[in-house]
Amino acid sequence: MKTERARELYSDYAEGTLSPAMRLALEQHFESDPTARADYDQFARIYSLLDSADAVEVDVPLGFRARVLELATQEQAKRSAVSQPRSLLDWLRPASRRWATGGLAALAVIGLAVFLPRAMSPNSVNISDVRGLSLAAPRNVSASVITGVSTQVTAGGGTQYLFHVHLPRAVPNATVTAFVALDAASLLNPATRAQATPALRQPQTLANDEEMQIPITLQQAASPGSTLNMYLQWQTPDSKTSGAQIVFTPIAGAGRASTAAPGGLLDALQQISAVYGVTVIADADTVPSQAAQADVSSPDALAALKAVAGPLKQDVQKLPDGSFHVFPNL
Amino acid sequence: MDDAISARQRDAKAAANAEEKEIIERCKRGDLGAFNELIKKYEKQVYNFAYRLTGNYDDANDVAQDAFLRVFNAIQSFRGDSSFSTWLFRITTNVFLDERKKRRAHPQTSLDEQLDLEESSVVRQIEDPGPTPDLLVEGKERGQILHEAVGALPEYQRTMVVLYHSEQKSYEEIAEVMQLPIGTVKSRLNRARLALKEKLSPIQELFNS
Repeated sequence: MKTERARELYSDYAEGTLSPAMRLALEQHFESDPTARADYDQFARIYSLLDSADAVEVDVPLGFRARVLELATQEQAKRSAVSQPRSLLDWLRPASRRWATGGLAALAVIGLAVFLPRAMSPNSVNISDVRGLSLAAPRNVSASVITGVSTQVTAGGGTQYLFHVHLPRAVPNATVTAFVALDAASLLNPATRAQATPALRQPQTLANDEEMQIPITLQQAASPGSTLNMYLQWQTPDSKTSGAQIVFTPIAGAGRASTAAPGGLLDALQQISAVYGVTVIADADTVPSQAAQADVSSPDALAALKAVAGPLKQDVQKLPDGSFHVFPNL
Repeated sequence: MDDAISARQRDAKAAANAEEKEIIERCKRGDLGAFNELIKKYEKQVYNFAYRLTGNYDDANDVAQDAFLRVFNAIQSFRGDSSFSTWLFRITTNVFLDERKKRRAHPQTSLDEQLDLEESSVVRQIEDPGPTPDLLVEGKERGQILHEAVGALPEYQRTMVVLYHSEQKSYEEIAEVMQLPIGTVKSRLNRARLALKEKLSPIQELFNS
């Protein structure tokens, strides 16, 4: 047997898959040529090493998944730019939902919620490993589940609002539901809230190491003083822990609102959002019942918020993206 | 008892397959949340496969990222003829090979080429411009030397060695991933192992223990 022919059989011989005749021929070749046997023995050692060597294991870089999703979202946006966006009305029929037709005229496409791994803050400390990110919470901050609202221009030139959602650190996972409306009153009343437009097509499970981004796109111009409003509720699987927040975000180009008659705290917060052009997030399940009126002569949004929230034992904090979170002062 | 355990394992596997199938269907409908779940499930596997092929983090990141994007764009064409994992490995392999093709500044010399002499054929030895093996040994672990030797193989051989020995794929699975006949996979893998033997034989005493 020629040397090169013998070498072609090495792997099969090592794996025991040669036919009996071929195995015999190869072994006779080894007996007749000691260097051939030595050659095979070296091969067998390398084969064995390849099989037994621990495969190199590396961690996936932080932000990998977020980057892939970002690119995929861009791809999807390019695709949908060449097709008509789905009408919200199409999505919400059948006719049993008659309540939808009036309030939905100004709302267009509710996009698909995107889940991203939570980005590491550049100011984080005590990061022990990539997997169990231990982000030290800043001091004196009450955790807001809605962490902000950003906007981006759609392919069609419209404005898409992205509501960013992240669970409190103590909550490993929860089911999230959300409703959106231009008319905040419908969200504030539990009886009408369930009839409002769902911002998520179905309740979504969110894990603590993820950020959910809920996209809402407006199709037509809104009247002055309008805000885009979302009511978001979350509950843990065992139903023992839950929470709700409402967020008012100004609609671009909506114009300055006129002073409204006194209502409750949430009415005042909505007005401040519209007048000062800031996003205001409030804990919806602990709203005081007293009347409140926004003082829109305050120099800035923070002052206006403190003026209305302070007397009702509410604190105000400014979030990293410029939004404001109003929460009970316990 | 063993039958009960096997049945439970089978049921668990069937449930996992059904769940994955549902996620893939949602992906086909453009559900980015479902795509996120797929990435979450396979990112470690894909990234490590890419790292074993490329040998460095940056290239592995590019290959893995492009592989998932190709999956996203091509998910409609996934029919389930092979497992999703095999399809994903095939895409990752193609991304790697495509990127290498683009980078090549000069024609690749394949160790498959042979010079026919009168009575026997020899495999042409490619001069390794890198440090000699005995210099490589100094300060390096055996595994690292092996990893680097695999990394120095031509791309097709390297891919097959990684698929077989690191990813523990069978010849049949590799044939599916590489879209080659099984016989071709076996012969190329054999040549890859022979090439590694040639490369490492000067320092074989390191591997004898």
